[in-house]
Amino acid sequence: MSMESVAERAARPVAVSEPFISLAGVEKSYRMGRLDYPALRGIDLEIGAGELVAIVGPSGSGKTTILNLVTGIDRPTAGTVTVGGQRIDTMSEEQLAVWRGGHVGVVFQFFQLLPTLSALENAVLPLDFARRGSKRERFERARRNLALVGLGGKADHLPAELSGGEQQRVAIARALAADPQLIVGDEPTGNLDTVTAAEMFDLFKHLNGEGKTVLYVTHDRELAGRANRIISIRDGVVVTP
Amino acid sequence: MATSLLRKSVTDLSRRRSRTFFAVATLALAVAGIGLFATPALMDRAMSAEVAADRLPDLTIYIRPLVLDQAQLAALAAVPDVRAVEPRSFFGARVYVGARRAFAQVLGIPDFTSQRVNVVHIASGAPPGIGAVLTDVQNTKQGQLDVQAGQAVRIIAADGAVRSLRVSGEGRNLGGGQTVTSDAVIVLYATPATVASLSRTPGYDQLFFTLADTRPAAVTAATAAIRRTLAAVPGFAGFSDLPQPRAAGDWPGKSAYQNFSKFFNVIALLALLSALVLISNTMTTLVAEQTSEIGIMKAVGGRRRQIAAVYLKTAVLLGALGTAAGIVLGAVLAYVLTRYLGSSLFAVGVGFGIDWTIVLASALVGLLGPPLAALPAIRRAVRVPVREALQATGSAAGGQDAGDRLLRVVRFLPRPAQIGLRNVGRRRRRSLSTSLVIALAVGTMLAALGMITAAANASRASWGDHGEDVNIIPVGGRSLDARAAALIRATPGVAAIEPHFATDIKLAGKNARIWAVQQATMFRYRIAAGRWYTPAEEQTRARVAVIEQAIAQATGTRHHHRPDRIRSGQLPRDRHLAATAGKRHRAVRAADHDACGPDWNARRRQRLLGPDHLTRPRVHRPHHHPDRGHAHGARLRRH
Repeated sequence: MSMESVAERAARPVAVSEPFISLAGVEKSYRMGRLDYPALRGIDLEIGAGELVAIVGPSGSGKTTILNLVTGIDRPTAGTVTVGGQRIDTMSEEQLAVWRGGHVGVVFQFFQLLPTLSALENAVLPLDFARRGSKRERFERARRNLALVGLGGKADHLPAELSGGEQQRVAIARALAADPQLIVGDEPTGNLDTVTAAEMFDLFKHLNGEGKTVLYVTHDRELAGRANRIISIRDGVVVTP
Repeated sequence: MATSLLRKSVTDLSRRRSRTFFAVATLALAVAGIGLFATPALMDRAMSAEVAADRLPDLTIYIRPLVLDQAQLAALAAVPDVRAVEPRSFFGARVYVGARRAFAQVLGIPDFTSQRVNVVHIASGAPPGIGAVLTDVQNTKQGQLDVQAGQAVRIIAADGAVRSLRVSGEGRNLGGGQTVTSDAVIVLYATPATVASLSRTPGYDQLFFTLADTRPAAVTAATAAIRRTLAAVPGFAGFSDLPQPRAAGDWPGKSAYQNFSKFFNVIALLALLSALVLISNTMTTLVAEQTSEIGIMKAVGGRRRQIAAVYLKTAVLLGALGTAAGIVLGAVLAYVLTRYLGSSLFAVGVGFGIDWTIVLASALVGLLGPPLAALPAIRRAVRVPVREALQATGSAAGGQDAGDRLLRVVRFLPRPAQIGLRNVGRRRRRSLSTSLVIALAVGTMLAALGMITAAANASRASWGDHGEDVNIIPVGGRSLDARAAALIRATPGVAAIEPHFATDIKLAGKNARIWAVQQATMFRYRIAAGRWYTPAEEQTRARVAVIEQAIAQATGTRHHHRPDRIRSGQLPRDRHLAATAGKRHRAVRAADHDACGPDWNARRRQRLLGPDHLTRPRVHRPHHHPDRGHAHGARLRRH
C-alpha cells in the first residue's frame, strides 16, 4: 500500500465519531509587552474518542496553543473547550490540576523530567499527586509502565544518566501513570533521532490501539502521515480539520 | 519507600550542596545565638550554688568602726529573726603595684576557720596570720595585683607609713571578687588585728547577717532590733550607710551581668533575623530556579498546596539541619561563655548545663522560622500559571513592567551598571531581601559601634561636669576636718577648694547616691527645670536638693510636688528634700551640711588625719566609691 501524502491525508474527510474533544469558537491572544498577539482566531474542532490525531503547521501557527487548551495548561480568550464531556475552560487552576492528573497524560518535546528524581520516581509522580492507591501500589504501577516502555532495568537511573530516547520513554511512562484516556504529545519526537522517533511513535500507536485518544503536534511530515487524522493549522485557524 | 514528593524535597537540598551548606550554617549560627539567652539562667544556677556555699548575707549593716566582744556578737546573733552574724573590719587603702599606687580594700575576718556568713574561701595557701594577707583570686585574673603566696604587698597605712605584708595565699569571696571586677579595687583579706594595725582604728565596720525570714517587713524589724542592740554598745555612732538587704536569688553583680547579657541577646536577635531573611532569600532563589519544574508538577496533576508542601518540606529540612547543629553549638557556646564569664567576672566554676526552655525555644524558632520565611516566595512561585511556568527559563522572566521600563530609561550610566541596575529591578523582592540582610548586618555593626561611642560620650560628658582638677578622698573612710581644709588651701598651687560628701540613699524606694556640695560649686550643672538652691538656703541649712533628670523621671519626682522622702543610712531620721530637676547629669544636692555635709566644723571634728593623706590626690572617678557610704573629701582646683 502506497503511503498517502500528508496533504492528501489532511484533505481526506474523516468521519468523527462521538466527539471526545471539542473546541468551539476558540480564540486565544497573548500579551507581548504592550501588544496583543492572536495565536488562535476562532477554532472549531472535534476529535473523537480513540482517534490518533496529528496537528501540523508552521512555527507560530498555534499548534501548541491548541494542545495547551486541550490539556488545561492554558485558557482560551474566547470560546469553549470540552474534553470527555467536561468544560475545562471554566475550571479553576486547582480543578484543572486534579483533572489533568486523572484524565490526561502529557509528553513534552524536552521530556520535562524532574532532574533530581529517578526514572521510577518521575514515573510515579502523578500518582503521588493524585494519592491513588497505596504507596506500594503506586510504585508497582510505575514499574509496570516503565517496563511497558522498555525501561524496566533503568528504574533507578536519574534523567541525566539516560539517553534522550530513554528520557522520553520515562516521560511516556509518567504520562501513563494514571491510565488516562487522553495522551497528548507536544513535539514528542522533536528532540530524538529518526530511529528513536519511530520507536516513540510505535508506542503511541500501541497506546492508541488500546483505545486511548492520542493527539500530538509534529513538524515531521512522515510522523504526521502515520496518524489516522491530520489537522493542519495556519495563522491561528484550522486549514484542514 | 519515600514518595516522589518527599524525595524531591530532599534532593533539592543535595542538588546545590554548597548553597545548602551555607544556608544550614547560617541558620545553625543563628539558632546557636539563641543559646546565648541561656547564659543568665546557667549563671544564675551556678551562682545559686555559690551563694549557698558562701552563705551570702541576707542583710549587711555598715557602722562606724566599733569594737564588739563575743558577748555583744552573741547578743546580735540572738536578735529575733537573726540566724547568724559575722563582723568584718575594713580599711580602704592604697597598695603599691610596682611604682603605682592602686586602690585596695583590706577586709578583716575574725576567724577564717569558722566563718558563719559571707565566707571567704581559701583557694590556695593558708589563712593569713598577723601581718599577712590573703589576696582575692580576682586580683590576678583582673590584672589588678599579681602576687603569689610567699611574696609581699606594700600597703600605705593610715599613718602614711608603707607596711609590707606577706601573702599567705589566695581567697575567694563573691562580694570581694565583684569589688575587684566592677570597681577595679584590689581586695585583700586579713585578720582584724592586721586591719586595725593599718587603719589605727580597732573594731568592725561591717556586720553580715543571715535571717530566718527575709520578707521586707521582717528585715525592717530585724534591722530596727539590731540598731537597738548596737545602741547598747559603747561607741556606737549609728549606721554609716543604708542597711543592705539582699533580695532572694540576688547575688553580687547579678544586675550588671543581666545588663551585660542583654547586649548578647540583641546581637542574637539580629543574627536570627538576618538568618531568616537569608533563608527567605535562599528559598526565593531555589523556587525561582525551579519555576519550570513547578510547571511540570502542575502539568502532571500537582495542586498548589501539594507543590508548596514540597518546598516547605525543603525549608523544614534546612531548618531541621540548622536547628540540630545550632542547638548543639548553642549549648556548647552558652556553656563556654557562662564558664568564661563566671570565671573571669566572679571566679566561679560553672559546670555544663542545659536550659531546656532555651533548647525548646531554639527548636521552635529553628524549625518554624525557615518555612515561614520561605512561605512568601513559595506562594508566589506556585501561583505562576502553568504555561508561563513551563516556559520559564530564567532569562525570559521579569523585565516587562513599568518599573523595568523606567529603569531602561536610565542611559547615562555605563553599560555594565545599566545591566546591573536592570537586574536589580527585575528581581525586586530578592534584591530587597538581599538589601535587608546587608542592612541588618551593617545595623548590627553600627549598633555595636554606637554603644561604644555612646559610652565614650557619656564618660566624656560625666568628666566634663567636674570643674575640679583633683579630688581628694581620705583613706579609711574618715572625714577631712577644718585643719585638713586649711592645709589643702595653703598648699602651693591650690586655687580653690570645695568640700563634698556622698552617701547612698533611698529615693522613692530606689537606690540613689547623694552628693553634698557648696552652693557656689565647682560642679558644672545645667538646670532643666526649677532652680539651683540659693545662698540663703545654704546659710539657713534649708533642706533642699536638686535631683538628676533621669532619676527624677525614674522615681516620678517632680520639683513642684510636695517634698519627697529621702532615706539615708547615716541620718538619724528621714530627710524631706524639695526636688528640682537637673539637666542631663547630676546631682542630688543637700544643703543641710550640719547633718550630712562634710565634717568641716570643729563641733563634729573627728580624728585628724596626717598631712600625708592630703598629698595623695586621686583622679576623679565619678562612679567609684571605695569608701562606701562615707566619702567625705574635698575637690580642689589648681592654679
